[in-house]
Amino acid sequence: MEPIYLRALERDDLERTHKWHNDRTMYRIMGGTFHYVSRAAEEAWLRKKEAYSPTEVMLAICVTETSQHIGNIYLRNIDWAARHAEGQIWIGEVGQRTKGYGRAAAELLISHAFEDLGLHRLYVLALEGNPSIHMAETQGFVREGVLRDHVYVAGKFKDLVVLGMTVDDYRRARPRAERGQ
Amino acid sequence: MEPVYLRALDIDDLDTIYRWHNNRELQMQMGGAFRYLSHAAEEARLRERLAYSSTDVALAICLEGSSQHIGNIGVSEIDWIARHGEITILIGEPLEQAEAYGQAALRLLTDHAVEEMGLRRLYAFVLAEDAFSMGIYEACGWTVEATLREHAFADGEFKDVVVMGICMDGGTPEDH
Repeated sequence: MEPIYLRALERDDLERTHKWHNDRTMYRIMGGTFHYVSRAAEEAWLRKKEAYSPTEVMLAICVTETSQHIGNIYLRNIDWAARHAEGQIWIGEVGQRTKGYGRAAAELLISHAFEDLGLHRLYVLALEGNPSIHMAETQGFVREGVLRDHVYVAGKFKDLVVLGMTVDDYRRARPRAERGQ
Repeated sequence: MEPVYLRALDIDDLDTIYRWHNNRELQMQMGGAFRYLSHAAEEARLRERLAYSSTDVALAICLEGSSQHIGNIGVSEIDWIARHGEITILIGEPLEQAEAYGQAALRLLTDHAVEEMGLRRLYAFVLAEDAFSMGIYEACGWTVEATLREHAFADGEFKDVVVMGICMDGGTPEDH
């Protein structure tokens, strides 16, 4: 049994996503810009995100044993002509980090992208030095370059690493049996 | 080479831009997937771009002597905190000096973005096989920062896309 499962984000998740979006330490890891987010703004965001979108897949990561919602994982900027998408993941519950849940969630999202959606390529952007870069590489992502000084985090301009995985990389890294076929 | 100048795009430019966007060869070269675009859709798009935006600057490239409108250049995706923006260049008219005009326009826009808008980093996505656009950026001192493998689909194939970038102070290596 997988340690975690993914499900669509729901309005009931408001309490948690609101708390995580207001956690500035998360943005220092992720490389995004921290903003103070009101409950009302969070609710509006969630209503928008729970609606079906052809260019985004927004999922909650839950622990199988307890059903606890510990973080979110997304496919964004889906381009159906180029068949590529950007992957994003965050484990919002601080106590649930470094337990391998992120890796398991990423694995499920990757197979959803290639096996269910028929995408040709996934890419992720990560702050230089973030341990998630190594994780992505062990999952079959290839480091494709560095956007110099691309983001401003905690008072400094920082580099952003681009990693990509084509469907060929995906199939090479995973024997057929492992892909559940 | 005749000097060029930049001006804001305007609604009078509709027919010219409509013609460029429906030119399959030109769109292929730009790396976008080709789409048939109606005059009405082009007008809606243009009106949206012409409205004041704090994250998007859309300009026409014109020849100094004749005022001929030969292409478009813009900064979009402006992030005021990271102080970066994405550049797009389209030279629509098949002129002999097209690459030189592109370079001149990029220099003018870079001055505007840095000196007047206070941006400190610019980047662009270019098809790896698009020597014309790569040449423009490289001549202006830009660096290839990443190669996104099979990132675009054009002309029946997945193609590599290059990210090019320039940092005004050459980056700040002591920071990281």
